[in-house]
Amino acid sequence: MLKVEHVKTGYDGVPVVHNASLQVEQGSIVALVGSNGSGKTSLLRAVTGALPIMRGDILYKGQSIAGVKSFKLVEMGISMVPEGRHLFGKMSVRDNLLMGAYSVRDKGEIEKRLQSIYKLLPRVEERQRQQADTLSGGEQQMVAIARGLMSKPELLILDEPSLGLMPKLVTEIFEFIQRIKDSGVTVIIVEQNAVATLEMSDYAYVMQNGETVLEGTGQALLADEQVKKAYLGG
Amino acid sequence: MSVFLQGLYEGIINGSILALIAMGIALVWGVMNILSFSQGEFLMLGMFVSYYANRLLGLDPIVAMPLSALVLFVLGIIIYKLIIARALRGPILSQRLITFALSMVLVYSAQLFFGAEYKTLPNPVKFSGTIDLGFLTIAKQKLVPFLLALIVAGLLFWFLRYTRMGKAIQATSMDRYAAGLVGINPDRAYTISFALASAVAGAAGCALTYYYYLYPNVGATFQLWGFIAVAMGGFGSITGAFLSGLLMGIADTLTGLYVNTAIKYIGVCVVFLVAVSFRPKGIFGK
Ligand SMILES: Nc1ncnc2c1ncn2[C@@H]1O[C@H](COP(=O)(O)OP(=O)(O)OP(=O)(O)O)[C@@H](O)[C@H]1O
Ligand SMILES: [Mg+2]
Repeated sequence: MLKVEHVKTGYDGVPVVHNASLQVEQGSIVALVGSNGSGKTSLLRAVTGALPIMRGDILYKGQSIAGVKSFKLVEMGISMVPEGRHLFGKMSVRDNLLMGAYSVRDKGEIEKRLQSIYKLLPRVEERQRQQADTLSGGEQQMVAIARGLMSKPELLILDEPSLGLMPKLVTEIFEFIQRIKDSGVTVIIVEQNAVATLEMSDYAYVMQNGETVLEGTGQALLADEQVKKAYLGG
Repeated sequence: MSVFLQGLYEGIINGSILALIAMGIALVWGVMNILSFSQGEFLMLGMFVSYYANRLLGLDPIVAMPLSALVLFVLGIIIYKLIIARALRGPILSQRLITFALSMVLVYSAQLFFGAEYKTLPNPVKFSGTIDLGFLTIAKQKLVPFLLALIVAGLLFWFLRYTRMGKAIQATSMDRYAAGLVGINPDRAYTISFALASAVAGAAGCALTYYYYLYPNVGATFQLWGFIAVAMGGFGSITGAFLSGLLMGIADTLTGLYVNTAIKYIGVCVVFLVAVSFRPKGIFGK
């Protein structure tokens, strides 16, 4: 479904990702792990059209999407929940969700999606009138994911969805992601919580200094000595 | 009492033009963090559209108003695409000052094409005369800026709150990056905002020609007061800009009336200083 081929990207002409390649099969969960600053977020930004591709190519359903702007990718079925949530702070939860369906014009369809999200996440419904920036961190994260789902993506990209959440909520978020996958959505996930992420993933890549250096099934990487030492605390 | 009422009324009229300029500045600042120093020049161009519509076609400013708004809307789009969008990719200082350079270009171009002398509408206008309420005499033409300010404020409010594009503009102003991620074209939202502000100034310029002379540099004063109104209203708050514009017009006129015309600007400055010292972020600032 998605193929990243030897991509180099960065900020203001300075590369931070030098050579990243990965492949994502339809219907799978693929994890991207690596230490802080290894370039995971930057790679995802390049995939979603927010950073320029300096070298290499990105193929989505066999078609190059290098240089395609974020807003167009949404219409093509790619949705990203960015690191740091990036909710529309002064809008209500409900309006945030509605903005998530910006590319949809059919009001009935939008309402249908809203109701199905509320069914999945009753706590989001309870908060629907509240201003987004007054939500707790965990609630914000839920809303961010929910907003990302409103465009009914075929490929959902999640950058650190459990950042700053207490363990109980982390488990909840992971269960929720599993359910999203089960509904047929392909998922790419970046996480600090390496063990839980690898356990859940069908396939995974390890990034180091702007390069994808290791790959394998989640189980294989969990067993890998090198990975254990670097990311799983021994 | 009737002198006071008359002064109040005149003040609101004068303030209406400031309010219109200020709403445009607030919109552009709120959405894209650009200080729109060229708003006064868009007003000036709107006045020239009205002037030529009157001179060549004998039109009244109210009739020429949609044309003026349209011309300035299109010009706003062109200027955004050619100049502002590029500056936004540059360093912060050029983002802040680009419209300043633009305003000078517009003033000198106007001098070149329209001449530097003062002009008034050459053909008589149909919408004129006065309404005498006993305690208040209303010159009909002077109602135009006030009604326009009310209508524009209402329309902007409605547009930003209830339309798809308006919501996209609000979302983009809160978080440009996230806007792109949900499928909004942020560049389009910026373009429309800039063009709308420009169209509002164009319509205001049209209304102004009913009773004000025009010349290439006419925008400068309105621009300056417009900025002060925006600062007083709380940067980025359109409602704040609207109300502060009216308030400044009232302060200006009443000082002129009761103190001395020569120092009437001081009244405005005092109101501004008092407002800002009690609420440094502006009356409506958060
Ligand atoms: N906006 C930016 N401008 C310049 N450099 C940046 C910018 N954002 C990130 N970088 C740099 O790019 C490199 C990779 O950062 P990136 O955020 O992609 O890493 P990451 O793997 O997502 O890290 P983390 O796990 O901490 O989120 C870092 O050295 C960082 O300093
Ligand atoms: Mg990151």
